[in-house]
Amino acid sequence: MPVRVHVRNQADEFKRLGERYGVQWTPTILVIDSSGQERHRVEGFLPVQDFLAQLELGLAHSDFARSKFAEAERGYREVVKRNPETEAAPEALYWAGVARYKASGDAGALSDTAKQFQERYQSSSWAKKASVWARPAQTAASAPH
Amino acid sequence: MSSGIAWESRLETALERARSEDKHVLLDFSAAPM
Repeated sequence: MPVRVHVRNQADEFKRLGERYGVQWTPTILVIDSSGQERHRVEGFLPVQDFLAQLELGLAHSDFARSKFAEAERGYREVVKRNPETEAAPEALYWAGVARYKASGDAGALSDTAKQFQERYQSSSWAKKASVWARPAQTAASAPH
Repeated sequence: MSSGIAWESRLETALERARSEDKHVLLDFSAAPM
């Protein structure tokens, strides 16, 4: 359901909704669930593929926020699969791991995600965030006998 | 140039439709030429 409010042509509505959602700049695009809750925000222009990836990310975030973790994980993994070169991809990869962990309680979901970040998106902030989940590398001294 | 998108101008109308169709609303705060 696309809604557009224009800063000049719909000044009153722009001000009303801008205050409600704390919008400070244009363009700002919000993904809002049917209760009116903001689930994702894009500020500034993006190329088409990056923008579409952000929208998909927003829908997955909405599932996550409603504790629909399996659906959220599927959505996040689709973002990575369909938009691997966008900035949304490493963020989605991170949250896919969190969603799997939330759904399963298996901490291996987090360490697996950290391992994936060692192979791709290494320079992203999401890789740094995921690095704390990495299992310590086994050394000869710590390896089980 | 038309975008081909049927933009709604009232959020509340879109939210009502979103609730009935289990969809989300994309709200665009724009300054682009119309």
